[in-house]
Amino acid sequence: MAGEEILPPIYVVFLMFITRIFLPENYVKIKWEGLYYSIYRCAAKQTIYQKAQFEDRSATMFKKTSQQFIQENTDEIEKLWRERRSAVPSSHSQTIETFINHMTQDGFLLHLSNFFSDKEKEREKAINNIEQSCYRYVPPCMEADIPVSEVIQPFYLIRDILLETEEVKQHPAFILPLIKEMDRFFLHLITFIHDIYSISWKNKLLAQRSAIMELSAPLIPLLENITVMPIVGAIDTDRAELITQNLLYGAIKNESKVVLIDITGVAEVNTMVARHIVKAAEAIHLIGAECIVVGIRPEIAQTMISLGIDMDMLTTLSSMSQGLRVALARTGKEIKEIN
Amino acid sequence: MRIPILKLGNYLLVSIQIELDDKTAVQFQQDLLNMIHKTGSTGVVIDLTSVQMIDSYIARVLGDVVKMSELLGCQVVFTGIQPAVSITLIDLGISFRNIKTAMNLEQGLEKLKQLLEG
Repeated sequence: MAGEEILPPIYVVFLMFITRIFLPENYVKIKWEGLYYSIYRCAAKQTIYQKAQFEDRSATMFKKTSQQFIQENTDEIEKLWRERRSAVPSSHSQTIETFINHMTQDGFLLHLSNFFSDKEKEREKAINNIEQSCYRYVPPCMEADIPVSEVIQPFYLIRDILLETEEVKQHPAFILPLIKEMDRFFLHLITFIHDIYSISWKNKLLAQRSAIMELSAPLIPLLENITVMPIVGAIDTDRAELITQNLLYGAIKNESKVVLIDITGVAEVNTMVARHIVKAAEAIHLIGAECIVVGIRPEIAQTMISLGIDMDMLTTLSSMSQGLRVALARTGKEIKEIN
Repeated sequence: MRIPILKLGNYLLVSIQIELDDKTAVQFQQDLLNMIHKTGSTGVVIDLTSVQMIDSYIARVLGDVVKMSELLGCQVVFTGIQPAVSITLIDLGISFRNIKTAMNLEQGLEKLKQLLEG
């Protein structure tokens, strides 16, 4: 908008008179409305341009002032901050105090003030520095089992302190942009702390999951043509897949005709678990073996029937010994007592 | 491409060693039914050991083959379905519940014998 040339309204009016004198009546009549319109547009453009210029100037001023203000009053803000923090009751106050002290030693307030700089580079640098200190000092809080809300809490306090200063009260026009800028900063900081927390949780979860997977699906070749797989613990989709694969490849490797799945150790059998078991059994049928599900407890039978789970195509039995007897019968063997 | 169908006593033996496409599968269906009719066989073993992929259409064609053969008085046993193939089929919702399967050709022939004689 700045580069565009604007015809001052006074010239336009002058032009209008000229045209009125020199041009025939009809032509002027037609053009008259168009000229009014262009005068209006010129005026509107000028207003917008001036307003934008004004806003631009005040924004720069506001940023400079905020940056200066924080840098000049660092000590006082820190003192106020400490007072406010001690007023908030917390069960982990000592660890959090250490955390905040580390952050301030790393120049937290300096970085915060630099965030108000109008140079993009300086802002980025401030953000980077803050992120680095977070990386360094958030993990100890995590290890001390401090909830993420309590780690974030102190940063809300400093936001309040900055908003309540005399400086801000004298310039009410600054309040809105100040809140806006600070929210951007603190939102970034808080999201970052959250990220650190959630990444660590995710890593822990993955480690535990792989540990469970290792213990998950053992396959026991019991007799010739008979294989047993005991399942212990909860079954989710990932584990069900692993179980099915182990079952299928194991059955082929052992040339099993009968596979016994023991679900005695499965605490809860819901629709999903039942579906996984049925799927595994059907897959076993396809590769040319037979599947017997054993270890059905009374309450499991009850839930299955009340949930309407169709297990018609499966052979199910209550105990392992029954299952073994059936499996032996299917492979043409039997157990005999020797006197 | 036609799939060879071998005669072994009273049984027919089919080993599918290529990836089945729609056309080949339909051709195979026709050939097998003609062969059963011509030879009067009572059992068929279809070996799928070297088949790595079965889609829903091929699965349906194979399922139809079994039902059609039974109409002609001939039992069908599938052998050597790969674990990956079986998982895919189950995921597609094709369970082949009424179809006889065996792990390998030997067991398949044994199973056919049991079905027909015992």
